[in-house]
Amino acid sequence: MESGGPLPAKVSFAMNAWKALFVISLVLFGATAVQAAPPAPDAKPRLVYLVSDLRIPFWNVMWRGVNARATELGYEVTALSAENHAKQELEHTAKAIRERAAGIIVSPTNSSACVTILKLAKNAGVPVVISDIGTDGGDYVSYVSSDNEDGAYQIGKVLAEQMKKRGWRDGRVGIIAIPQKRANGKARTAGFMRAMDEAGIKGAGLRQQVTFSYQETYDFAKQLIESAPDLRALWLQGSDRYQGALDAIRDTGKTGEILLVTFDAEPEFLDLIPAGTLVGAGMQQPFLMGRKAVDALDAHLRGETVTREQKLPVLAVSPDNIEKELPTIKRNVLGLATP
Amino acid sequence: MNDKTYSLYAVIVAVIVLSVCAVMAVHVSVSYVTMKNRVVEDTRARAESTLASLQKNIAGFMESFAANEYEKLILTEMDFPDFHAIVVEDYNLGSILGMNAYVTGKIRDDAWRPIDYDRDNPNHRHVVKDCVQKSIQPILSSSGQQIGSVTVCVFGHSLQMALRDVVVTQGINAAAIALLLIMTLFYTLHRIVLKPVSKIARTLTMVDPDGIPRASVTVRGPREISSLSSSVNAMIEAIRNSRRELMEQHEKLREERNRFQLAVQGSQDGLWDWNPVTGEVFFSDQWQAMIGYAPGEIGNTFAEWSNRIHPDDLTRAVEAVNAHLNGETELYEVRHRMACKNGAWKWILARGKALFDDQGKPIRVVGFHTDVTREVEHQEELSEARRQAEQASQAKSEFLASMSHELRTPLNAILGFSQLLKYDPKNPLTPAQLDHVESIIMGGEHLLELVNEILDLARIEAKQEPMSLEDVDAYAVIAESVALSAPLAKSKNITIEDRGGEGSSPVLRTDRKRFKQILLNLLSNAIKYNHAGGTVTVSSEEMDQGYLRVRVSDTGRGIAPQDFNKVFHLFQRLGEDPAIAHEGTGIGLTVTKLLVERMAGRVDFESELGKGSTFWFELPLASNHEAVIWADTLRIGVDAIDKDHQGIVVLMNKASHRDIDETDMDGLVRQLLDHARQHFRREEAVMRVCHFPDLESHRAIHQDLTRQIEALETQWRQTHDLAIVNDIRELLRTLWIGHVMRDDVKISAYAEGKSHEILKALKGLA
Repeated sequence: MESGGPLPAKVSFAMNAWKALFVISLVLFGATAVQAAPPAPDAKPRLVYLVSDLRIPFWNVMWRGVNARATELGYEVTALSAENHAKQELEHTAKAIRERAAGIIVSPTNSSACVTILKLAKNAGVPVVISDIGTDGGDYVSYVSSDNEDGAYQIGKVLAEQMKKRGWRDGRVGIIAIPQKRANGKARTAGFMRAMDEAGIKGAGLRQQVTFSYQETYDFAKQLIESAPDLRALWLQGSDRYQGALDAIRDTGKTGEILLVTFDAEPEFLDLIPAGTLVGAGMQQPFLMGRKAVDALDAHLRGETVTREQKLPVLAVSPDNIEKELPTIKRNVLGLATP
Repeated sequence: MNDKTYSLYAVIVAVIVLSVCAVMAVHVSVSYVTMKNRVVEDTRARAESTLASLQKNIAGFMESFAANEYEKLILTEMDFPDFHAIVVEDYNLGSILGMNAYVTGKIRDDAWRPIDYDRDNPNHRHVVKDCVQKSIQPILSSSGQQIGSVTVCVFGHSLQMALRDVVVTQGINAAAIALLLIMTLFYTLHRIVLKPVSKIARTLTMVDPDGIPRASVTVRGPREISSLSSSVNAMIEAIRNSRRELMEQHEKLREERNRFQLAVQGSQDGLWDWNPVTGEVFFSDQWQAMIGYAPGEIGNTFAEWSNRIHPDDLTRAVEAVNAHLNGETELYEVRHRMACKNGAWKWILARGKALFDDQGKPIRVVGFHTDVTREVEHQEELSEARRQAEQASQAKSEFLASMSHELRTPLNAILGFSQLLKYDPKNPLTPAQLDHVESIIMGGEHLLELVNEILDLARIEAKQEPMSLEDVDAYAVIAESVALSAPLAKSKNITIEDRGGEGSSPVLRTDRKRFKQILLNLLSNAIKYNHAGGTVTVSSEEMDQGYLRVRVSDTGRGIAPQDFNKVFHLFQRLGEDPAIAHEGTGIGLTVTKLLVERMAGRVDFESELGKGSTFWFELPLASNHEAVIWADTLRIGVDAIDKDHQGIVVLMNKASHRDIDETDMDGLVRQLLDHARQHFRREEAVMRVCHFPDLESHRAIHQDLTRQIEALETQWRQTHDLAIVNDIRELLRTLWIGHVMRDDVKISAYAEGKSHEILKALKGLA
């Protein structure tokens, strides 16, 4: 299950130091993955992490979680990034099978392609654990994902609390959503609206993203603002185009009158949230997801019963708790804590 | 109930069930065929469409290595149940996996659910290889290079399913509809038709002892049923009325039968009922008793009747039967003799009438036997008496003729010598002697007149007086006669008026001398029986029937009504007037009557006592060709036969007068026919003794004439139509006279010198 658009930049850090650290880490681990050699007969069991694109920070953080946990458990692990190409992903799958990997952790390019991967792996007898992006079908050991509904519910409560603080009782909320045909999109909308209902806040409209572009986000935000004079908040179900929404608020002269919350996080949110530019964000924990995926595969290889579906909590970060959650954010969200 | 009968309900139900089932079967069959054709066509089209769609849509996924996407397409297409398998070979993915092609797809399992195609499964390969219809299309990349192929295997599953559905669904539907239709039709028919009809039938079966329904039919229903009900009720009512009428008729018939039986018993007639088809005859007890038999003593065959008929009557009786059965006579009627049980003969008048079928064949003849023995015997007695009278008259005539000749000779001598005494100048008589001589002369002349008239009468009665027929000017003869009578009239101071002399004179075909004699006789009587100063008027008138009626009227004392029937009798001088008695002989009117009738005429009179009498006679005009006058031309030369013929002619002429009353005509007809029959027998007897060679054929002619005459007689008695009399007369005038002129005339040649034998034979016959 994906966390944003088709090829979203999962994580972007506002701070340059963090960016530098991230790029160094990416180059370091990417080179390691590409250069992995076939295991020797008496070598450690080898795991392969088939990933859509390691250049995406979210996947990179997740790879780090995989790598850290696999290493801890004594596995040799290789990450094969498909660079978001299905053909390359299949080639990597064939390669992993051909090289007799003990197990595969896959964050596929999409849930459909995952089916073919699962099918090929099954035919070869290789167990597979899926992390984050799900599959449209096939057999797998376990599926590790974020609890989107609960995360959205939590971030909804954060927004309600912020509006309450400001004494806004009658304001409404506009939603700029990812496609609602996706399961995670439906879950996020459902959780958020449950929180709104509990707070007595009414919706002012929903726009579904198609191109995931800045302009699309800006336009949707402006439409919602202009169509609802009593609009008091915008909720962005993705994080990467948050600037379009902020610009629309500014351009409509609603700065300070309309709050902005997001799902997922960008590194600069560590600054924007305390500054009040954003009043909250629901943050997934890719590092933790990678670790859980390895744990599941390891348990399976050891013959233990594995929970077929694991939903990990989403951190609802607000100006009120960012200070407290910062260590967790750094480790599980940004993957900055190495094993 | 008869085994061949059947219930209307059963038939209706059978017809409805069979009809509905047949319709439903046809419907299901048509649906089956239609569905089959449609599904086959749909399957073919769907397969082509699917293949084309897959060929087009898979290429993109195959190029982008999205195997699952095209597998989803395949799975989607497998929703169509006729696809047994869809298999795709992906060369691109195959090259990645180190094989020729990545083979994937869907195939049906035994439950017809789509499962993943496994190229390593032999069954899967077999299905794809040997499926009923397989279509393979290459998959081309955007650059036109073949990057795979798609195979669609079609199995007529949907056809099977559809047809099964058709059979099951349509069968259930058809059964339900059929059941509904059957129930609806039956209920409708039951309510509208069967129930009323059954009620009508029940009503019609509840009958009284006579088999007639006790009640009227009361049903309500459609117009036709109501009409049927009304018709049935009308029929029942008509039957009741018919039965009532029948009972009434039956009662009437019973009364009629009782009346008839009483009448039959009272008449003592014997009833017979003959079935010509079977030959059986019913003879009533009275019929049998009539000839002396007890009931049941006689059988029931025709022979019981025919064997008892007198041999001489048998032929005639049988001919009468045949004539009636042949339709020649309206009624069967014949007299014949029948043998009684005791051997005696009884005269029977048999009468009857036949019933005929449509082809005219007699199927029943019913009639009576009447015992007419006494009547016949009485008639025979009468005939004998008449015959004896005739013989006596004949003898008398012969005697008178003979005696007249013998008387006239000495009488002439007496008169002659008396005249000599009276007129002898040499020996004049004393007054006393002269008075005596004149008395002798007057008595002698009267006696001579008497003798002459007797002689004349005798010749006429003996039918020896020849007639000389010629055309006679009637007025001239009348005038002549008046003139001759004038002296006598004058001597008595009586005036004679001749009123018949104007206009053209009628011409008679008659004997002039006798015509004149007749007229003179009547004139003489009119003068004699007139009183002094009286008048005698002579007039004439042409009658419609071709006769001239001459009237001679006087103004005398007239004739008393009680003497009317004595007027034409011989020696009858009416009135007993001593003053005039000596002037008549009592013969004149008798002679007149004989002469008139001999000349095909008739004579009669009207009279009123104290006022006078009118005597008239009619003679045929020359223009009358129907009247037959006995003349020498009809004489065949055998006296006995000629006399018979003459008698028949006289009777024929009598019958030709149409103004005679019915009773007279009845007697005349009877007389004429009796005379004819008797003549035929006499003539045959003559021919027999004369050994006439053509006796049998002659007899046959007689029989034929007799049959025809009797048939006409029967008709006459039934209708009393004068036209029948004309027919009889015409029959005699043409056939009989022709027969006389043609056949009878031949007898004379055989009769010469046999007068004695003839006389004897005729006496024996009498």
